[in-house]
Amino acid sequence: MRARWLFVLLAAVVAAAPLAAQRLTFTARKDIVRVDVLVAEAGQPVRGLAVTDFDVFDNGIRQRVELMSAESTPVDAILTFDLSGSVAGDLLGRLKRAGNAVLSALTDREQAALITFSRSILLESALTHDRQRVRDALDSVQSSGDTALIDASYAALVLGESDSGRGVVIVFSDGLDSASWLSAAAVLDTARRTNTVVYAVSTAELPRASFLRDLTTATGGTLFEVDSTNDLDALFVRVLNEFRQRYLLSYSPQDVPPEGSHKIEVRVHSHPGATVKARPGYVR
Amino acid sequence: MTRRACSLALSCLVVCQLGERLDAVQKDSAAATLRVWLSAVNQHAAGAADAPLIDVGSWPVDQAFATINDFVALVRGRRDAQAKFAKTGRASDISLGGTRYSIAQLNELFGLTETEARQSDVNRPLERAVVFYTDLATFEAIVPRASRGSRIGGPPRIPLILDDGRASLSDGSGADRAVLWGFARVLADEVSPQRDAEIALWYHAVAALLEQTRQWGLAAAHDEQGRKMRPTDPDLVFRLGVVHEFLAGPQAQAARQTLSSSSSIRIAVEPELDELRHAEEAFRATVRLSPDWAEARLHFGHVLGALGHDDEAVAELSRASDTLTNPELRYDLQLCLGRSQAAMGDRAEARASYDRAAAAFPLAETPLLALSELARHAGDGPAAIAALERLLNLPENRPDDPWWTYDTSSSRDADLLMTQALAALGGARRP
Repeated sequence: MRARWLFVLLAAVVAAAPLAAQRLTFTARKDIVRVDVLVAEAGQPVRGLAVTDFDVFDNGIRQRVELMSAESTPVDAILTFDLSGSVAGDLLGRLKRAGNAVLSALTDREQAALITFSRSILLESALTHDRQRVRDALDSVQSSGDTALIDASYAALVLGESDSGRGVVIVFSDGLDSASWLSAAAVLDTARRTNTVVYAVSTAELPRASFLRDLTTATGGTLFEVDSTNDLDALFVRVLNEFRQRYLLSYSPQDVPPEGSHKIEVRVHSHPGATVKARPGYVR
Repeated sequence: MTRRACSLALSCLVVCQLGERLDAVQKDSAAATLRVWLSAVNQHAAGAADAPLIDVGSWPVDQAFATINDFVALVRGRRDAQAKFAKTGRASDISLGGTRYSIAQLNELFGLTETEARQSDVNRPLERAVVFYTDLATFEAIVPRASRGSRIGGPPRIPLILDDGRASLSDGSGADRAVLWGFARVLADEVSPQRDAEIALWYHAVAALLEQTRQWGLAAAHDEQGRKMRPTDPDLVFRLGVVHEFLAGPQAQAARQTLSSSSSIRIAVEPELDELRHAEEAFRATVRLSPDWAEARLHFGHVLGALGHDDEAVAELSRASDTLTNPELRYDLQLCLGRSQAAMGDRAEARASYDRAAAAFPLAETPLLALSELARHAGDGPAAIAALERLLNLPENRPDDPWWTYDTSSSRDADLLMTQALAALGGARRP
């Protein structure tokens, strides 16, 4: 198995330190595949499943999986917020409240980071247990400019690969990309190579073929298209809670080619009528 | 029956008599309006928002259109009369809408100097009118009268405001400016070929100005007409390519997507691939007309890369690299080169290109993002992280990445070009 390089973000010691003080470091980890799985019946997550309830197939080959406990894999929530010019006034205020609601809902063992984007991508706060630090960063943001949604999603995906945490990226955007350098295809390829799950909240009515739709599908996440942002904070907390109720399965791929595109299929034989949501595959 | 017929005949007579009176009034009115218009054009000082400009600027669009048509008809009539005089030795009057003008009267009306009159040079009033409408279209302080409901030009074309990838309908003044630029082009296209260089310069300057101010819809219309009139002018062909290159980009395409569900609005932006092909065609023609133009090859290479013709893109960009000197354009070139090299699987060369871009502008985000994704795609996690770390640790108050203004980079000399063009048309702007 090839070694994969991941990294961790170290929180800056001084809250007011400039971004230059935020340092990224790396840890190596074994080549395992993680699959975040949401099992739902009648729209409600099914809880209490055991590893024996799951059948996971990699390129059609059944794999021996482990169920990772929530205790061993605390959540790393990467808030990735569109701060382009159109996110202003009330909408910006609601977005800040929603971000704060997520921060308040995190446990002490969980971490958060804040990335904002317009034309630029800014790491307002690296992953940290210090929620007040993220809160302060969130309170100070302002909006302007275009929307480099694809570029920012790439940065969030890479950040979401940090340490052994369970990365969830919560992307908020009110529109379509208007400024990115990276192509959607390149970032979707990155998404298929990471274990991070992306949830997205869009206030725009997205076309059938859109980057955010593809990104959430590729990572096993969910896209929420909302008409109103009045309850944005409740929606964000719902996203976090839903993510926590997912099952984190892992396996070392057996009897499949080490590289290339792999199709993943997850079944829950104890609940044949349940909806199972997981990333459809991965790329090595 | 008889009574009824009489009644009809009577009413017809009344109408006919009234119609003749109206015709006479309108004829006099049209001639008088033309005099007022020409007087304003002749009195206007280039570059000044003076009374003549403000006065004519407030005219309804249909009235201005009719007056310009009359003027152009008289210019053509004056030229025909001169040609006839040269052939037959006999001067003839010019008739327009029932009003007859002698050549001497037209000379006076057009404000020709004795020399111009002797040489039958009617370019001067035309050029003055071009300058007049250039000023009218560019002065934001002068708000033209709404053209909605105008008979000109078929269904209404309302410019869209593009903001952060969204398109919204403008208040209509943009449509009126489009009409004003259209008037200026109608007048410019009447100027005789002896002044072709000056008019070509004007076309070029206006194109650059519209690009610089991101009035892409107006630029598209202008550049299409420019190319139609001067298909072998590399500057104008290039400008049209730049417009289509922008329209293929994320800003315009995002706007296109936001409006695609509307049945009542048809946005004048084609799908990305079509816009790229239009741009490719224009740039290919440009480099054929002007093979040593490195900046055109940069744009050509960028578009070829976007179309997936990366081997040809690398060839074009490499050729441009030999002679391109502008630092921002060289930076743009390295980014485009790196992207095409990466697409071809030449990762080492792509990395070298991105590294050169990063070295030239160390505070720019794009090369770092490109380096990170290049490494990530190659499975080199540490290098991907290292580049991303550099990006995320850039100072917050950094200068803008030059790539962000690539779409308007070719309009950097717009002000100078406009000054030169107006000076060439005899209308040097006041400071």
